Order: sequence, then C-alpha cells, then structure tokens
Amino acid sequence: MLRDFARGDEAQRRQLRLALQKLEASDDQDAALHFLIGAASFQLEEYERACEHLAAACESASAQPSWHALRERAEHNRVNEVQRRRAPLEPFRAETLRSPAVLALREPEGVRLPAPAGPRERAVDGFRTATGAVLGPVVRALTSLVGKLGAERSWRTKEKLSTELMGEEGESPVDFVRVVFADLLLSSLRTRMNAETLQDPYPGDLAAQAPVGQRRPEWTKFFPTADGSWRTDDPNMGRAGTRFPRQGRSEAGEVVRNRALDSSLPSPRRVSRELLQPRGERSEAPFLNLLAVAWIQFQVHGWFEHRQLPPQDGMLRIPLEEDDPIRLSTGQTHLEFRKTQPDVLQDRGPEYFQNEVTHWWDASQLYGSDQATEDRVRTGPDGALLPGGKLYMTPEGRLPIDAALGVEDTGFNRNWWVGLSFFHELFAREHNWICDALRAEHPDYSSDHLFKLARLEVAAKMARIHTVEWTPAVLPNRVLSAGLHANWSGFLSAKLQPVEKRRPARWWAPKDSSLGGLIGGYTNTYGKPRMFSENFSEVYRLHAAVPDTLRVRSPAGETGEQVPLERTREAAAPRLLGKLGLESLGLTLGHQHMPALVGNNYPRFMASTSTDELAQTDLGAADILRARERGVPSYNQFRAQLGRPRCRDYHDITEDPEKAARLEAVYGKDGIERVDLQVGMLFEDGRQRPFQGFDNTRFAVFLQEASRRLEADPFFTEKWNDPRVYTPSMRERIGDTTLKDLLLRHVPALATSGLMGVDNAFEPWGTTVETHPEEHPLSATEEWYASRSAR
Amino acid sequence: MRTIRFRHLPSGAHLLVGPERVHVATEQGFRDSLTSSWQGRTPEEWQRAGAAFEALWLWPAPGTRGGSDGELAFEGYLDAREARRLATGEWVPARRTPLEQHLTAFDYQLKGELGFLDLYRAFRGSLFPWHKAALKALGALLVFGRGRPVVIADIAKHRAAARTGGYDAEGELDAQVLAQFDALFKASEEVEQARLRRFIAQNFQPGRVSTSQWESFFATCRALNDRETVTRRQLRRLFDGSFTQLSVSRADAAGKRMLEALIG
Repeated sequence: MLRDFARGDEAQRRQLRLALQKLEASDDQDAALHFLIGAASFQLEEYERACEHLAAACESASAQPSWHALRERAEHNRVNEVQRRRAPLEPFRAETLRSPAVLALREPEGVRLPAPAGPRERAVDGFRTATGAVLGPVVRALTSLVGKLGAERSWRTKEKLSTELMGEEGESPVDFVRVVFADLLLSSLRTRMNAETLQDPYPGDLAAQAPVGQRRPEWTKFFPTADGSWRTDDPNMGRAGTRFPRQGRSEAGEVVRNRALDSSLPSPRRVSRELLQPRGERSEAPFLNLLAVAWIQFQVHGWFEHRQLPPQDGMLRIPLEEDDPIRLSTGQTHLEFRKTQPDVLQDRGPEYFQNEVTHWWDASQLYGSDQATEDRVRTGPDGALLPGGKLYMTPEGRLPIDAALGVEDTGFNRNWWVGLSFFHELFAREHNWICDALRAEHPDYSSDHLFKLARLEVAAKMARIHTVEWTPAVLPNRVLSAGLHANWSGFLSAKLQPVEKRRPARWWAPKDSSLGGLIGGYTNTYGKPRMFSENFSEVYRLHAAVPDTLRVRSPAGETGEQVPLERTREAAAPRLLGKLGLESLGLTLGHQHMPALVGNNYPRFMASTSTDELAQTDLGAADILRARERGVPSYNQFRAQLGRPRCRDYHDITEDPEKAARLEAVYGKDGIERVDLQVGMLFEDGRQRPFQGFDNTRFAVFLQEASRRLEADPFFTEKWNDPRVYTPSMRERIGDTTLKDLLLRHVPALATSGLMGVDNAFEPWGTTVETHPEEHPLSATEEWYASRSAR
Repeated sequence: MRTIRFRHLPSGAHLLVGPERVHVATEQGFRDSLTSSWQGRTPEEWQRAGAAFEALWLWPAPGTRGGSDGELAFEGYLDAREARRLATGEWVPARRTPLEQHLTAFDYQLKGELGFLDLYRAFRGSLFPWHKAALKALGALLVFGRGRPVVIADIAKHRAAARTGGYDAEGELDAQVLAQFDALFKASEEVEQARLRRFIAQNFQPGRVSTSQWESFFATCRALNDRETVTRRQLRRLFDGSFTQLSVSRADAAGKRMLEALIG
C-alpha cells in the first residue's frame, strides 16, 4: 500500500490508517514491523508516531542506514511541525476580478492630505522636465546607437566587455568612458528587451478583464491599496490574483506548453539527483553571507507566489528509479507533486497562472495582499486596530504567532525558515519606528493615514536596499553598480556624487530615466501591463543558495552548535529566533557564507524533504517540474526568447568538459534543446557568466525587471515628489537608510560586531576589505564605498 | 450626482434616478416624477441606490449592474437636451436604441449632441493619432450632422441606407447578424481582421460610411491588441456599446487612462 500511496486518495489514507491500527495492536512487533509502522506514519504526516516506531526500529542490530535517515527526517519534522496547515485559502474568484476593485477595499479613515506641491516644487519640476527634454533624447540616441549593434551582437559584446571590466585578478582597470559605454550597452539591451519581449496577459482588454469605466477612488491616488489594485488607472493592473504574463519575442501560444509529463524529457527527479544535488563539498560564494539568500526569499514572497491545488484535485506523479534512495528506504515508487492552480478566467488557450500576491513592490509580504490581512496584522489582542498605524507586536517585541501554522503571523508566512523570521521581525520593528517618527511630525494624522505612509516608506526602503545594496553585492561589478545607482538616483548622481549624498530626483537632475534616475521620473509601462512574468518567477528559483546547516554564533564567536536547516523551518523558526535573539541570529546569518548559485550545489536535505501535505518530496525536482508544468521554455528556447544567441552544444553552456559530460549523460548527445532552464542557468560558466554571483541568462531577466518594477510604478516615479504621498522627511529617511543602518537601529548590540567592518551588510561580516579583498569585491572596486567607510 | 437611466430588471420598467427626482417610465416615456413608493422603495431609497452606483462608476458600460441585488441595469445618463425637455414637461423616451447608446458613449459632457471637439476627443479616445482623429471628426460631422453638431436623438434620421452590419433599420441590434458574427469565434477567441473584413464584405455589402466605421473599429483593435486581430469580447463590446469605454479605460504607458480627461 505504501508503494503506490496516492496522497489525494482519501480512501487509501483511511485504509492505511486502519492497517496501521492493526499493526500497532500486534503483540509481535519486531524491528521490521516498527519500521513499517514508522514509514506509514511518516507518509500520513504523523511524525510523533513515526519517531516513536522508527526509533524502536533503529535500536535493532538489523537496522538499515535508510531507516536511520528516515528517523532523522521524522525527528526534524516533529520539531518543525511541517504538517501544520492553515484553513484552506479563499479561492480566486473570477467575479471578484470582474467587480469594481473598490469593493474589496476599505477606505482609510480620517485622512487629512497636506497641500499639493507649491510654486517652488513646481518650478523645480519644470526645470527638471526642461533639462530632461533636452538631454534625454541625446542619451537615448547614444543608447540606440550602441543598440544598433544588434541584440545578439550586443549580448556577445557585453559578455566580452564585462569579462574585461572585471580584470584578470578582480582588479578594476576601468576608466570613466568605458564604464559609461558599458552602461549604455546594458541600457540598450534593456530597451530592446522592453520593446521586444513584453507581453500582455489580457490582450486588448483591461487587466483581469475588469469592468470598464470604474470610478477611481480619490484616496488610491495617494496611498497603496491592500490588494495592489488602482496602482495605475487600470484598476486590476498588478492586483493580487492577476496573471503572470509570458515574456519573449514570440507570441505566447508558440512557446507555452505544459511539459510536466513529457516522457521525452529526463525525469525531474533524475535531473535533481544528477545535476542539482552536490557531488562533494558544496561551493560557496565568498563575497556573500546568508542574509543575501534570506533577503531574496523575503522579497520574493512580496513579489510572486503561485497557488497550488489541493491533492484531491489530482497530483503530478513522477516515477522513482529502482536505485532511488527514497524508493530503497520506503518502497515508494512515485514522487507526487501538487498541481499549480490555473487561472480562473480560463479564456486563453495556453496555460496562464495567477499571482497570489500583488505584483507591485509594496511590501505585501509584511502587510498581505488583501484587505482582511492588512487589517489583521494591525489588530491587537482586543480585536481593535492599533493606534498610530502600528503593526501588532507582542509585549516582548515579537511578531505574534499564527495559531494554525506556528510561524509568525504576517502578510505572507508560508515556505518559512528562520531567515524570514529575522527579516519580518526587523521590518515590523522598522514599520513601528516609522509610525512613531511620523506621528511626532504629524500628531493630527489618523491611524490609517500613518499606516499607509509607513507602508509606503517601508516598501521604498526595501526597494532601495534591494537596488543599491543587495544587487550590487550579488553582482559585484563596477559597471553594474553604476547602473543600479543610476536606476535609483540617476547616472549623473551615481558618477558625480559620493554615496552618502546620492538622492533621487535632485533639483539639478534632468527628468530622464537614465540621467536623473527612475525614482521621481516618468512612469513608463512600455504599453504592457506591469506584472511579474512567469519567466521572472523561474529565474528567482535560488534554492542552490540555501545552506544545509546554520553555524550558530554568539557575540563571543561560533558556539559550535550546528543547526540542520530542517530544524530552522516552519514552526521551528520562531522558536529558534526566540532562543538566539535577533543579535545572535544576525551574527549567524551575517558571518556564514552563502552557497554559490551553480550546478550540483543544491542543499542535500532538499532532495528528500517534506512540505505541507507532502511527506516525501524533492524541491530540486519540483523546481524542474514547475517550469515544465507552467510552460516556461527550455533553457535554449528561453535564451532565444530573450534575444540571446542559442547554445549549439553543451560546451557553449560550460567551458568545463566534465560538466558538459554530466549534462550530456542526462539529456543525451543531441539534447541541448531539452536542457531545463534551471539547469542551464546553474551550469553557465566562463564567458556565459561574466559577472560573479549570477549567470548571464538570469541576469538578462534581471536587467529588464530591475528597472521595470520601479519605472512602471507611479508610486516610485511621478508620485515621488508629491508631498501628499511622500513627506519630505520620508524621502530623506528612504534616501539615507541602508540595511546596516536598519540593523543597528533595531539590534544596537551589533554595533560591536563584524557588521561594523563591512560597508554592505550582505558581505561576510567576519572579514574586511583590507584583510580579505576577495570577500569584498565591491568595496575593493568602488571608491564610494571607501568614502562611506571613512565617514 | 448625474441623473442615471436604469432598467429595473425584475419589472422590466425604465427608471430615471437623479439627485432631485426619480421617474418611472410609462408607455410614452419619462415625464412625471415619482412621489410615493415604487416596487417597495421610496424615491429617497432609489436615490440612495443611484448615489451608490455613481460612487462606483465614472463612465460605465450599458448593462452595468447596480442596486442592492444587481436588479438595476445601467442605460446611460440623462443628457442636457433631455433634461431641458423634462423640465418643460415634455416626454423623454424611456430608452435609447443601441445605436443611440453607441453614440452616447462619446457624449462625455452629456450635451445630447456631438460637436467637432466632442468627436475629435472621442476619436482620440479611440486611440487615433491627432490628425486622423481630426479628419474622422470632420467626416462624421458632415455625414451625420450635415455640418452641424450631431444630435444623438436624431441619429436614425441621418443614417445611410446601407447596412452597418449590426443594427437594423430602427437602430436595434440584429440578433441574427450577431449570431453570425459570434460563429466566427468558434475556434478561437481572436480572429484575424482580414477574415472579419471578408466576412463583412460577403454578407452585408456595407456602404462607404459603414466601411469607414468598421475600419475605425479595426484600427482601435489594432492599437489595443498590438496586432491585426479582433477578439470576441471586443466585437461583443462593439455591439453592446462598451467598446469605446474600453479604449478610454485602458491605461497608457504612463499608467493613465483618457477617461478622466474626457469627463473633466
């Protein structure tokens, strides 16, 4: 029965339970029987009972190694309580999307808007507009000239140029002109991608087929809504529950095809075992710490999430090979995966899927993506909204615990680990700190008004940290750093000002996306609804960067305790944070290096782990399967869709013959077109990986979206200088707050830690640029970081 | 609050709900205002339903539901010409023909007639570049208004004899024709414009004016879809009168829709 156990089959579950009862009642329980009961309990997600019987089985001399492995996993699951479930999520409803968006919102009460921009601000805006109108076309002409090389040639040029820019030994012999040229080249690639690869998931209609002619509620012009609606004049653009667009040069129908059960492709499990699982020591990114991977998961939870169907609605079954360790230990012949919930509107041929969270950079991971959640996180134990716009935190200063899941109760709290507990708590504290600051400035503002302003400020701080700290840390390169700072504060500011003086939309900065920056500039969706694409969600599968264990640190140094990552997950996370505190956890995450985003480097535990409703799963296989299921093109087709040259064979992906042979062993001699996206990206090296940190394919999508998610959002562009939206003090704080500042504000004890030795909090805290320049390549090549340190 | 024309779906009656008066249509149309309860609701309650509807919609499509249970279907706003007739004790027609409704979608200022500027703005709202919008506005003024503003209530008098494809001689929707159009979308939600052109030419022999109107529709679809196609929903919208609302409700690259500027 265990062999063919189907999770969605309730009758089978009942049968298995009955069989278990009989077995447990037996007087003659030997080790094998204990193991059988333990394994069956494990499948039923009854981990307490599984532990008990597996422990008994393992005490026997006849215990097999696989029994010990299963016992260890049962013990992990008993601690992390992965089987806990929330009440079924409210399904997406077509009627909701097709009703006036305002019906799903609550209007903030007691809002007293300050005066709009005065004559001085309007004069400054006029000056910026005029200079932008004169100088902007010059920059665009230069960009276009560079782009005339042709997209494919531009990519090749970029790869060559970037390799040169990094220098042979990590040195940076670049001069001003070359950096400018390289940034123009990147800009031209981005322009081409915006012109050629954006697609509309609701062609010829309003987003999510919203009813036409809705009246826009006045307050939505000044404040973000709970569900992302009315961010632009298209009410449902970017709203939670709307589709992921496709991305690429061809029409969606030409490339979208569910390949989840395509037998011509290697099994996702085999791909995971052969190409994702490590073959020895895992390699690390020497210049990043674990805050980097925790941060990106924290951000991703605010950007996108696919919802999955319950097991009862059918599962995807992947056969296990005879020698598969899972099969050997449990006898199981298949791995099961839940299906992705398809779009509720169902009017398009190819598969489309919906984003459970808002598509905007609005910190929805903290505040939720619907009105009920936004209100819930602000509600105290007495059932009333807290005064002053604050989020509820317990008297001990912690986030409350979600009774169903056992993790922090926040905007989005699934797929949890202690890294998320850390950032959620940090930003919840920041939110409440902002509320205090705003209240001191505006004692007459209502609680709703303060909350909305604080949400805006938190989201903008996240956007800034991500743009000018996280991304340069992951891609430590002078060209990219300049480009990312140009996105935020403009190229002139990035080149002419030290970092501490850079601010968006300075009075002298032309209103132009390149020269003056995206922030405070013009909104531009490039004529296509701004939503995260299906392709974007695929390139942010960064499981390779997750460690297998945490090496715990205290202020005194490493404690010697190593916590398996399985014991930092789900309900174990808030307990671990409670035990360590923000200081020790910050030190742990800040000192430990992040594993590298390369092939055969997934964490070992992920090959055989548990999630809710799936006692036995492989997250690497899931990564492969999801891309196939959702019609995301294979690696080579994905490249072509982005305008990049196709690879002719495995040696075009990797310059390492041994790695190429590994790819060939799985995909076959002529299997280049079958290579899965995730595999291709992780195996890129040499000239395909000119930047450290990311492969070039991932970089291509990032290059476009890093700008687009700012440029297409009116709250980061045209509303930036509106005093009714961002007060001057908010703009000042946003411009001045780094992750390091934020850590020091809320965890002051870190002022005596290794954090003080780094400029960028995502770099390893245990070393400095003076002692280990290879661990701080950005600081080593960026004079502005040096100037900040000196300050 | 504007004065709103509704159809009360349970009774089939036409209703005019304004900030000061409520009217229920008789066979001759609207004239006398409601002074007592109708269908179990007082005039004030109908006004509250109207205000709630007004709070949600800036320029709704015909048929948009209102009322506490969706029992009201929007049929347009009372325009200035109609308001004047009502004020002088004249009858105002209980309903507009679909063709009139099609034109009222351009009457953003609720004047009851469309001058050059109104038509120009309407064609700009349909995503035509300024020079084409100006030419089209001029053409419409000459054909339908004989050089003077086009009076919406009189549109049937000025229609060319040739069939437009969707409306019958009285300006009512031709169900048989609509079914024929719908059949084109059996295989796909989107068809090539060339195919639709062939279908129209083969079945309706449209005159010059109708052809020009179809071409306007195709041009707007091209701008909306980014390719030479028409979707089933767009064709339906053309006939139910919501197509122009779609183009003015779409956000442009700056995230702005034209509707606010058109209504002012």
